[in-house]
Amino acid sequence: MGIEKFHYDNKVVKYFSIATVVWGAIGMLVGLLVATQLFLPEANLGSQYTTYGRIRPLHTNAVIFAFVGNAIFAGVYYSMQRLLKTRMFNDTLSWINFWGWQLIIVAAVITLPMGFTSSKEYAELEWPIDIAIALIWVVFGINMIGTILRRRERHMYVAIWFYIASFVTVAVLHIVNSFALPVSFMKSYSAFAGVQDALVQWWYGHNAVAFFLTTPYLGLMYYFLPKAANRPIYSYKLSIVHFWALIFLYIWAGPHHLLYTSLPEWAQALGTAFSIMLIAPSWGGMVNGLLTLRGAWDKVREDAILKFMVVAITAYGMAVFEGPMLSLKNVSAIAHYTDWIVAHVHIGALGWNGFLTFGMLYWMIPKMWQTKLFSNKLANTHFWLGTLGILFYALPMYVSAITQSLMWKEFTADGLLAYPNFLSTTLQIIPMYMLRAFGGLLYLSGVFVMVYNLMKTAKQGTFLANEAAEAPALEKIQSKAKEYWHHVWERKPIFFTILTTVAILLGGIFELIPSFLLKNKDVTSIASVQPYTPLELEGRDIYISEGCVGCHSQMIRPFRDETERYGEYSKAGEFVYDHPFLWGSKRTGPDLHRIGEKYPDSWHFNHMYDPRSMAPGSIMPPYPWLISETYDLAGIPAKIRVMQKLGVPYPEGFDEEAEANALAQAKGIVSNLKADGIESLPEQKIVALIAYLQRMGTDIKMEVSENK
Amino acid sequence: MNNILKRMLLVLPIFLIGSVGLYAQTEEAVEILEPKSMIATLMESEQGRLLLIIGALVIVLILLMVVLTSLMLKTANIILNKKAVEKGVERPSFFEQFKQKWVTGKLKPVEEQGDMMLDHNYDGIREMDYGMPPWLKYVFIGTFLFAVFYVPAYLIFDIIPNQTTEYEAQIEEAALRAEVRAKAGLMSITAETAKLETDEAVIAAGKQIYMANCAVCHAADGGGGVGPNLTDEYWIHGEDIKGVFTTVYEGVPAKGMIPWKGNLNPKQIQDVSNYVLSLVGRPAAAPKEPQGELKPRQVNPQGEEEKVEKAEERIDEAVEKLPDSLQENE
Repeated sequence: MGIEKFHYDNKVVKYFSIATVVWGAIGMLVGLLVATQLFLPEANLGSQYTTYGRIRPLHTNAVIFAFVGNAIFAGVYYSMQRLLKTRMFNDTLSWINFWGWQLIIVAAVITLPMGFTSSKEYAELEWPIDIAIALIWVVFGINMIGTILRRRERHMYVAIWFYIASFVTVAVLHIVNSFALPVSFMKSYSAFAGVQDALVQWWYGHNAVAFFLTTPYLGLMYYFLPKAANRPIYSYKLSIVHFWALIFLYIWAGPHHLLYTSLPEWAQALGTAFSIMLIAPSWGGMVNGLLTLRGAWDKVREDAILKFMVVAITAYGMAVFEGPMLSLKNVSAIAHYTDWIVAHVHIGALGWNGFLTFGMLYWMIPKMWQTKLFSNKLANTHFWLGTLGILFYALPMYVSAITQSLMWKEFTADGLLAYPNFLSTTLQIIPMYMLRAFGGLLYLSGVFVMVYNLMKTAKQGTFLANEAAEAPALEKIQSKAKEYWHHVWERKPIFFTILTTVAILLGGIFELIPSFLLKNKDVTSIASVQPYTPLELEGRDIYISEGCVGCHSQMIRPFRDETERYGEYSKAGEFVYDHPFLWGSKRTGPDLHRIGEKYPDSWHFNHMYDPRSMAPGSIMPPYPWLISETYDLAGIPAKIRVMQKLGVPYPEGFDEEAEANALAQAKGIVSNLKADGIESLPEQKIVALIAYLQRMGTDIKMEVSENK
Repeated sequence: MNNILKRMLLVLPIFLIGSVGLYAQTEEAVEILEPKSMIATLMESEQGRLLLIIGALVIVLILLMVVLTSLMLKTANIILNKKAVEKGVERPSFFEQFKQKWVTGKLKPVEEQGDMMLDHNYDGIREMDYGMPPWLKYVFIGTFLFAVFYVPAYLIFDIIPNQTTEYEAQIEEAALRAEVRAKAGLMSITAETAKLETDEAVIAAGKQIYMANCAVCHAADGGGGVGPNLTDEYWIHGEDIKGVFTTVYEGVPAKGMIPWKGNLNPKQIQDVSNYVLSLVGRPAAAPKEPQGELKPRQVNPQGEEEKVEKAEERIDEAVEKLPDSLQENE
């Protein structure tokens, strides 16, 4: 059969590459801003739109979905065409993919600072944007599968396996975790509540890391590393073992984010066991990558691209060992809620994702512009700035994590907490926060060096939008006698995709479904737990909107130091009406689950207006806008109705009384405040927030004291 | 903080030994109770000394065995190699064999890797036919075994305690310690035994505690704010040392006064209660309106002398508060 001529589409790759760099710089800049706010709260610029709780999700979303997301598309569109010897399936779909994704990011940049959030980590975007993400992701999927079906290469290379797994799994995760009932255009309530919501969220959260930050990047590594090093892949068989083991095992590990919480312990045990089993499959990628460099280590010494890739793979190897260690419950007991987790994800994000992206860009851009890299020296400068940045970022975080965790847990000889005041443990680690921000600054400055270098490179070359290529058309397979079993699968993309889907669904099915079935038996047994009043519900929405969950957990673990500090440990039954759950994953400030009725209303009012008036030295930002703004009283009935649909047992027709009910409760708070000399109005946001804060964790308080 | 550093060092091994370190935290806690070293404890008894001697002997024996085994292996290697050399094939060393079998697998020199090449070629990327490195395979099997044992040990056989059991053990241990302390008389101050004191040292200590914990709600000068005014003669929960001690110790949760018994020890609570009592009658910058009942201060048993002292103190304080310019005029 004859040789066919065709063209690779470089233009869409160029666009995705530029988007990667631009959004990367923006995302990291926002990261630097939030890092600064942790030791200098004034760095919120005095505006609600740039305050920590709202822009931390902006930072995470920008880095994960804008920086890494665009890098994935750039790398996948570049490598897939070449690995399959064909142009992308459909140019229009490619461009819908590009512009759609950028629009989603712009929507995130607008809505997150405005306080529109579902509060679910890494899935904060509200329902209309969620739908857009699903649509664009499917467009990407169709384009990818179409390209595979139109290939001129009989077998799919390992990179393609990883792309397929990433596409399928992210689609499943995103759709299930985003199940929500809309209340209005930019507000919805999660379909799941409490423990179930937590389990779904961390099944998603963990696997977003797995299938958005890990598997696509393994695919990219399998293409760009052997290309840049000009060495063969070390082991084909290792690729097979670690691919299947990785995607099958990863999906089970989510519950390790919820050790010692109210999550049933069978799920916790599975989370730990599967996390430990993940060590070898994850390392498989590292081993295959590093051994591919066998015989090329002399090049690594000089070539900045390979240096980036080697550090990326090493960072990956460290992070995927650290992860399972953090999943051991005795380690989690120390590390959870601290900066350890922050350090861990940043080793992954800055080291693995960041450095592999940089290596890829330095390799790909000169190719597409048909020139050489403008300056190898600048690339090396970038490498060292980045590496130092990672060290300055991660090491202080480990120190701060262990320091703070041990301070939390320390008791005096009198049997009292050694540091009963949470704030004293925060103040202890402020210098570490400064060093961390410095690390971030170094890393970001490296990115700017790269931007300059790449722009110069582009300027000196000429861009080749359509790269000519040729390959023989795919022939019908003559039945060969002996073919390795997996090699057979590799030429059956549909079959392969179905197998992948089965592998990734199993873990989810086995963990999620039983927990839903157990719902009625286990969880709702606490009779004293009642739905939130309308005003408390409104206050809870303000809590969600301000991103309080970014710094405050609502999950007291069964440790003596925590019950001494915060009160009775949290029970699963207390969260049955929590759509969404707000357990949080980080304690920059204290846990709030038993904050209710601990302080007078006026304490909260003063504290929200100026935290330092009630807690001198506090790094919490002030929230004056909660006092100057009002909530929408008329919007409450709709919220009640949605909650009823989700199964929250408000009496029928309660929505009609909701406004009056809220107003009455608000007036009570107003008069409490007045008694302490504070003037307020029932419709101020602060009043609703106080109602919620004073309710938190109190349902069970009565029961506990009655039992005594 | 020294303690923290020490514990930080302790964490490293916990991290490394993973699940084996499950009990490290409790062990560490027990150490605090009994600061004696293990060896010292053992030396105290006859059996202990015997144990130590046996232990030392065992260690020496193990070392000897290691030396002997390595010698034997060396000899065996020499003999085997000789045979191999005789046959004309050089036999790889023991370590080389060990490495190939358990660690790296058979790796060909880079120049000869061509033999390992598969016929795969994807955009110029070739693949080789090496297997999974043995060490990785054994890590995989090891973690698999861990998982197979961990889940039943946790969920079925209760070998690994569940979190409620762990928590109850912590509480029990704390209760035991509290009992020990109570017997030693360390926590003997209660509302009944709390003493009214006007010692300067006590008041100064109390003031420090007050400023750190109470001032945000009751104001630095005691004038009140979120909490009631402490400088007036109106009382909600008792005006004597017993009443104040109880209020501080147990708190008034219904009104937002935190119980301080978990944060301050009884001596500290007594000190701060005495300081609070000393606030009565002092001037406040922005006194909150009175709450509770009027209960005029009993005449101080120590008489006029102290009153004069107090008055002088008040004047001094008032002067301090004046703007600098006025002070100069004086």
